[in-house]
Amino acid sequence: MNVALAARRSYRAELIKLWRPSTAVAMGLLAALSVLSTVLVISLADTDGPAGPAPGSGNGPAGFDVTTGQLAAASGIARGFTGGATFTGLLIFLVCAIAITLEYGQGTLRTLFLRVPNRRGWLAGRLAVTLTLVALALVAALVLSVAVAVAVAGIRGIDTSAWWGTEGVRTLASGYLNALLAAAFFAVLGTVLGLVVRSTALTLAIGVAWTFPIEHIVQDSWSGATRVFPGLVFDTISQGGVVDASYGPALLLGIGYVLVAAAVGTVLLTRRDVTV
Amino acid sequence: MTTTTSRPGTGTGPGTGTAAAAGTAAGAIDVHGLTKRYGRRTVVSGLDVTIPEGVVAGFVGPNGAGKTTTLRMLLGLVRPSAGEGTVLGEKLRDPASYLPRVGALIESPALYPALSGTRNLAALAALAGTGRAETPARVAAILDQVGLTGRGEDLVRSYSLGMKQRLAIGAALLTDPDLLILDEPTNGLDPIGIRETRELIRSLTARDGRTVLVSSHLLAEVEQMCDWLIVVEGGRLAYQGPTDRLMASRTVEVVLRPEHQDDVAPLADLLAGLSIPAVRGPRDVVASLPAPATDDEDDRDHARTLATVNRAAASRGVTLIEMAPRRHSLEDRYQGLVTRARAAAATPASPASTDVEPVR
Repeated sequence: MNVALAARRSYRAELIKLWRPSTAVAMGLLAALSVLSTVLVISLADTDGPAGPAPGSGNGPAGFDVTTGQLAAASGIARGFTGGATFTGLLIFLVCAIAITLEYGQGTLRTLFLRVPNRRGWLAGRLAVTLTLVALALVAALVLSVAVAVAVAGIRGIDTSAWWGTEGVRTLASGYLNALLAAAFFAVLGTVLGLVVRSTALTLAIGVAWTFPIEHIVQDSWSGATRVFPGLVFDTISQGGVVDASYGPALLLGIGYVLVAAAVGTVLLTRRDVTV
Repeated sequence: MTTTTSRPGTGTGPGTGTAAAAGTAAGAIDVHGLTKRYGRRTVVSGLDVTIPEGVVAGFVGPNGAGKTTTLRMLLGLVRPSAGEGTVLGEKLRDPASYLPRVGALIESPALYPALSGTRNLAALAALAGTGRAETPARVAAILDQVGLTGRGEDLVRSYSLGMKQRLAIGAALLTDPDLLILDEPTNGLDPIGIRETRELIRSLTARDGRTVLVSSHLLAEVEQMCDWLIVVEGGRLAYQGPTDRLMASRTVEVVLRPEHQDDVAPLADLLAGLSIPAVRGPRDVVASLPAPATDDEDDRDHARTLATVNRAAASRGVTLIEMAPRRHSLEDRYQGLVTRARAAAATPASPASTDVEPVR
């Protein structure tokens, strides 16, 4: 059985497995995070600040640190969505990590490998399904985020006329693609961490500890961490670039991290005995 | 194939009875020197396993004997440290070539608790390449076969252990495999479930000529179900061959019970006088007589011996109220095999502990 055939079968099987309420809940949670981020970004925007650069320029405020002037620009339409990309990425990271460790914990990995001996193909199909669902969830999150942004901007009296031009659509499209890229990278990293550690509790402990406190504590004392640590690098990609790190190098390093992680995951999956 | 090697004392070789009849030129499983080491610990040591096609083969051994590791190696889940051979005519080292024709249940049923039984099977059917159109009918047929019709839409987390076990057996049957490997398939089943599983397994070979390898601790089940037997102890082979060969004996023990307890001693003396080995008990004497055979002449010898004993006892005034043959169970044979294998493994001068003489 070649990799492509195994991946196709795996894709179909994973779709059957994921067609259940908990998947909808996870996707809904992702959209809810995006909506929450949008509400917070627009509600908490500083009214005194000048209209700064668009997100992604690498030298302007991103995420929650915005002004109403910036929100009134064409790029303002995507501020709420990109501001929440960090949280959606982490959510995807955790969901993917837990999902793979559950295959170990429930012993279902052996059942799967008996049916699909080509383990690389199985992994490829599984990741493809994950990314499909993430892409769909992000589309829903984007639509909801824009709808909520319009409503909250109206309440705060922010002029949104600039949002609906070509520049606004371009910002929205690039914001979606960056969020999708970052989410994909988080998904791969979460899956590989799960493959390495195999224990749900340990994976969660390592994953949460590293991406939440450790990276940010180091970042507080060393700004270079933003350009090096994987979680921060993926975050930079999702924001389209931040003050301490520009988009291009972050994207290259992110791709490098993902390729290394995919190689490690593939080797582990194909070489390691399945004793669960 | 019946076998390609005839190891002294292992019972391998041209089989008899059902197993031999079912055996063909190529065995369903034919592996040699199968070994698994984890660091310095050897879990399976140079195991030779040969299973003819179309038999139900029992795989027995104490806990930690290496049964599950062996099954995992046969299924490509665990990489052997050494050993070569074939499964369904394909190379052991290339499990992808034979796994599509193998169904398996390893250890506990591994299912998705948050999915229904139907969806568990549908997901596995998709992995196996069953078409979308065929899947519902196939899944329904499997649920019917394992007695879960009507519960298919329930979440697996609501199933009893026995139901999960049935569903896992169903999952193993999903692809209509040529070889079925079942590790403790009757775990968690009630007596009726055990009987149904036994009948299901037997029907798979009787009706479709499949090969089934069953690992079990229930020796009575194995004895009833399996026509080929593999016994392992300490990761080494203690016996493999037809079950009836292991169970066969050149002698049969017959319990001779006199009417009066005082006659036990005279009866024992009488048997000694007839050169018949016997063990004296408080109420009876157990005599070892030539075993009845399928051959008519031998049967007459056995009957003549019994008649001689009966007449001799009567002539000395001893009335026998019972002459009952005592059958050896697989448990007796297994106990002997394991004890011998352990003794052989403990003797430094006897490294070839796999060559344990099978009980006759």
